[in-house]
Amino acid sequence: MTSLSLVLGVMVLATATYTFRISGVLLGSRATLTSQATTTLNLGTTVLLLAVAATAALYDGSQLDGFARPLGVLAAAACALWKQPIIVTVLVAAIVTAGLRALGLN
Amino acid sequence: MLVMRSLYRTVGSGGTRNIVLVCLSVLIMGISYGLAANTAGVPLWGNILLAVLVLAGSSEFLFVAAVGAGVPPILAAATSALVNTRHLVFGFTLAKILGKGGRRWIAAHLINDEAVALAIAEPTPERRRLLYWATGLGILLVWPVGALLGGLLGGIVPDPRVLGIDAVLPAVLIAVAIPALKERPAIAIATLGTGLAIILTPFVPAGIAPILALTTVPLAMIRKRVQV
Repeated sequence: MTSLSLVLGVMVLATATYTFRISGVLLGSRATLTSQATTTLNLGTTVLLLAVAATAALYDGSQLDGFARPLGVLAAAACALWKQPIIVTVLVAAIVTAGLRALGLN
Repeated sequence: MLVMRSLYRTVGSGGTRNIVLVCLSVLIMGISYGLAANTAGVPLWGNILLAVLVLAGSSEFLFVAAVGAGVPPILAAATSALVNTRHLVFGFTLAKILGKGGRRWIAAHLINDEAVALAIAEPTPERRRLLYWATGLGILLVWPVGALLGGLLGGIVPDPRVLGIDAVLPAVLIAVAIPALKERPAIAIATLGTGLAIILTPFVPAGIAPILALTTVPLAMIRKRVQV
């Protein structure tokens, strides 16, 4: 890996990412949405975030990662459902995951 | 300080606290990203450049891991970019909040999971806009700082996995996204979509499974139409 190839790689990733972002913004600003469509769009965004969270919890790339992190995140989800503050939810996730790993469960 | 005070006045202590906590979590994730970049052999300037210009955590983790495994950076960039296709959906959702002015070209760069989640949970457009900008700018600051710290600490601090830091990202997203699910149909659709993404992940390129979860969302509209 040369410096030049790394810079090119970074530029490609940055440009592609910004293109996704600004395309969404420009398309969305042209669309006129009913309030029901807006509600559905917000639901879609929430589904997307939760799907990202779930796959990030379970997988390392396309391979299952083990049990510690999924269980830690499951505990965090329980905290969120019980309306605990964000700090509690996040700390529970890390502590449960670290604790299980310390006990030898990966 | 002035910004903090007006932020506090508009979104209250709850909103401000959420922003601070999310930024703190992102800082910790940034440190673990910096460590990963260091382990992968990406130089410090490269990891900071990625953090500032890409500003999308999971794709950067994937990029440095691929580069570390010997994949040419251009190829690694192409596959990592797929992870960020969801930002198109986020941009579409946020368009109304960001308005028409020239500032939206800057606002677009700040689109990320956490800022979007905090913003859409707010009841009024004004609060959404403020939470979006505050969280987005906060992350623009803490993510590269975390990457720098992680890069400098590489080899000194223990493996972030020992501390369970890899569970922080999903936990933050869940913490900020779950409060938006208030009605039973929404909960059902979110569960279905998330389940679909989990099942599909091994079979599709990285980052695509969550997009496919969106195929469950039109069910919400069908249900409404049946009710009418």
